Parts: sequence; structure tokens; C-alpha cells
Amino acid sequence: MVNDTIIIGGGPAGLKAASSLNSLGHKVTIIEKTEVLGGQIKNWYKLFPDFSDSYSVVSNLTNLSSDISINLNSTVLDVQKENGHFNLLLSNNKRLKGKSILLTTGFSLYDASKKEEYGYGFYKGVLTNKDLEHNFINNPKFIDIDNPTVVFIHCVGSRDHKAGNMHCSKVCCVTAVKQAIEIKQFYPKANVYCFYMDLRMFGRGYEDLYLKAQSEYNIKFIRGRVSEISETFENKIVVKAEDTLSSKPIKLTSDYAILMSGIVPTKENFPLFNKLSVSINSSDGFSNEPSFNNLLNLKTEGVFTAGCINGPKTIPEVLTESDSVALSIHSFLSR
Amino acid sequence: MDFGYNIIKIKTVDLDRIDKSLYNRVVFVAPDINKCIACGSCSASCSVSFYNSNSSFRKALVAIERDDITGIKESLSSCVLCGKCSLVCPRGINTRGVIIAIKDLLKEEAL
Repeated sequence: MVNDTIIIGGGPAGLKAASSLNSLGHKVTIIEKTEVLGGQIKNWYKLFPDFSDSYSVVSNLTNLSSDISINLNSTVLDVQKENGHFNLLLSNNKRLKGKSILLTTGFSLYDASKKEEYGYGFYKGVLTNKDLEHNFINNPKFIDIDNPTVVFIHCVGSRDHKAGNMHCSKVCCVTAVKQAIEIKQFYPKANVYCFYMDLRMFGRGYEDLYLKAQSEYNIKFIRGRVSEISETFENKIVVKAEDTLSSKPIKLTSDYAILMSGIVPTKENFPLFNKLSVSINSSDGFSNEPSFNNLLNLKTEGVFTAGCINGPKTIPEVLTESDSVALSIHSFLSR
Repeated sequence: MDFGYNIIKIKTVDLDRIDKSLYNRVVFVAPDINKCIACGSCSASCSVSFYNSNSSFRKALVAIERDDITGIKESLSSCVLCGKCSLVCPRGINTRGVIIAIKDLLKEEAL
């Protein structure tokens, strides 16, 4: 049978669009490459700016109608357009037919080990934002002292021409502030520092969170990009930067350094995008360059995109975009 | 004795070693300074900084936090307590009050 829409990617964007399209009366199929729905938000403990439980957000999104069919552990091997229908071949040899395709393939986190000066993968005390969330979920008391020094390093692989990412990853600033507060909540005696270039507190409630971090949690913000990380014989982490507000080099020994890896496009999906003629921005590698008068700006009829495939976004932005694209798909299908 | 070389004081701020006692005392009397976002509007509005560029409240705060207080007393002594900095501070810090508190603390410690 022919699906109205085949959604590739079972994260927040795909799930939200699936339930919206389903409630508009369309037959929807989701393709998800991992063994469980929910996307990367599953790896997160709590969400900024209000510390919502990410588990509850995921379970709300995955509470789908039984009309929606779901293919787990599947990737798309091939896609062809025939008589206005898309024919998909999945990795489990299943074939699907659809009138439209919605790509919600999401993002990847920047591989922090590429920034060799930070020693991720070499020094035990250097973690990424994702590792820290993993610890918050599984073992929040992973530090065995009650007054650790924890340093947050913003813009790892973002706003970094040499790392191949010119773009600002947008959500890491507020994520760092959120995680810094969480460290202070688990370890009230901790000394927490954030090394930043700018603090981009663009969203509603983010600036309040920043003020709270400063005044209630005594988190120290130092303006300067960390130039290098080294390790002492006692496996402590030494962080070096310039304190650009006093124009002096600054150095600090800490127990943990948390690298704020940025949102980058998933390059392994590019062959699929090419097959569907989805444009890829030459500067940042994300798809779909919207214009003010054409927000979807799609090249192939029947192919839609939503979520972080189109660039870094917060969860509410992803959900809003998914709803909006669901409406566009609805009008495409109703033609 | 002249050995033919000098010892230069290291300019790096070593956060592991600096003495935070003065800063902690300033925070104790004026906890609002934690809210500073280092925007510089206090320094930009300063009536005195036009004549004395060393007089910068923003720099003074960072210097105290980094335990590098050489010149702080001089920089704050030129303050005429006009209060324009308090007027423009976006985080509502009573900068004028903080200056008075810092000067008192410096006097107490006879620095």
C-alpha cells in the first residue's frame, strides 16, 4: 500500500510531524536507524531553560497512535521516484512506497577528539556535554570528592573555521549554563567556571538562567577561548586561556573539563540528500536555505525537511517547525 | 649582587594560587557584583575616565577577582562618586556603593 508520507528519522522532529500528519488523516511510516525512537534527546538528562525532564518529553513524543507504522533498525539504501511516487529500499530489504518524504535526520555532535589541543579521549577528566548528560542519567555522583573544580569550555568545534564549522551551534551556551547549575546542584561546594567567547542567551528564560547561575550558584564566567588543556601527574586537568577582560593569560587546575561539542550536519546522510536533490549549504553543511518568502525552499516536489537537518535548533523550535511542515505536506497531499 | 639577569614577575593569572580573600570580602559586603556581565557601561559613562583612562570600574572588579590590585587604589581614588555608573548598569548593581565598600576594605587592610 502507498503511504502518504514516509518520515526518515524518529527523533523529536519526525515524531511530532508524524503525529500531526496522522491527526490530519494521513497514512504515515517512520524509519529509524537505531533500535528505539526518540533521537538524541534520549541522551539528555534535563532540558534548558526550565530543567524539564527529557524522559517525559520523549515519552510524550513516542506515545503515538497505532495507525503510524514504525520501522526500527532500518536505514534507507535506495530511493527512486516513479510516477510521482517514491520507492524506498530499506536495509532490512523491506520496500516502501510513499507520496511524499519528510527528512528529519537530525544532527551529529562535533567529534571533540578532532580538537587535539583539548585532549578528549586522552585525558580521563575531559568529557563532552553528552558524556556529562550520560553521567547525570546513570551516575550523577561520578565525582568522588564533594568540592570538585569543573570547567566548561564553550564553542568546541563551533565558530571555528579550521574545524570546518563557521556556524554558531546556538544551543551550547545555554546548555553549558544549565549543566554548570546541575553540577552545583549535585555538588554544592563545587567551583564551576565557564570559558566563553560570547554568551548567546537568545531564548526566552535563558538570560534569567544566566543571572541565576551568576548570583545564586556563584558560577564564574571567564571570557576567553581555551587554547590548550594538559594533565598533571595527579590526573588533574590544567586549562589555559586568555582572560580577555584583564588582557592576561589565565591558568586553572580542575578535576573535570567539559567540552561543549556543537551541532554539526550528519555527513553520512549526504548521499541520501543528493538522491532526493535536497540542497546542502556549502558554508555550514546544513540543508535547506530558506528565504523570507519561501521558508521551505525545496528543490524536489514531495520532499520536505524539518528539525536540525536544517541547522541547530532548540526542542520547541524543532516541534514548531515540524508542525508547520506537516501543514505544508497536508496541502501538498490535498492538491 | 648583580648576576647579570633579573627575575620577571609572571604575568599569568594562576587561579589555583591567587589570594581570593579580598574578593570574597567584597562579595560578602556587595554580593551584587556576581551579576556583572562586564559590558563596560560603567567605565564608558565614568565622568573621570575621560581624563584618567586607568579609572575603570569594570577593570577594577576583574583585577580584584584576579588578585591583581596594584593600581586599584589609585584608580578608585579618582572616583568623584557622581553615580552615573550606577545609573547605567544594566544589571542594577549599586556600583557607587561597591566603590565605597572597596575603598573601605582597602583602607581596613591598609593596602
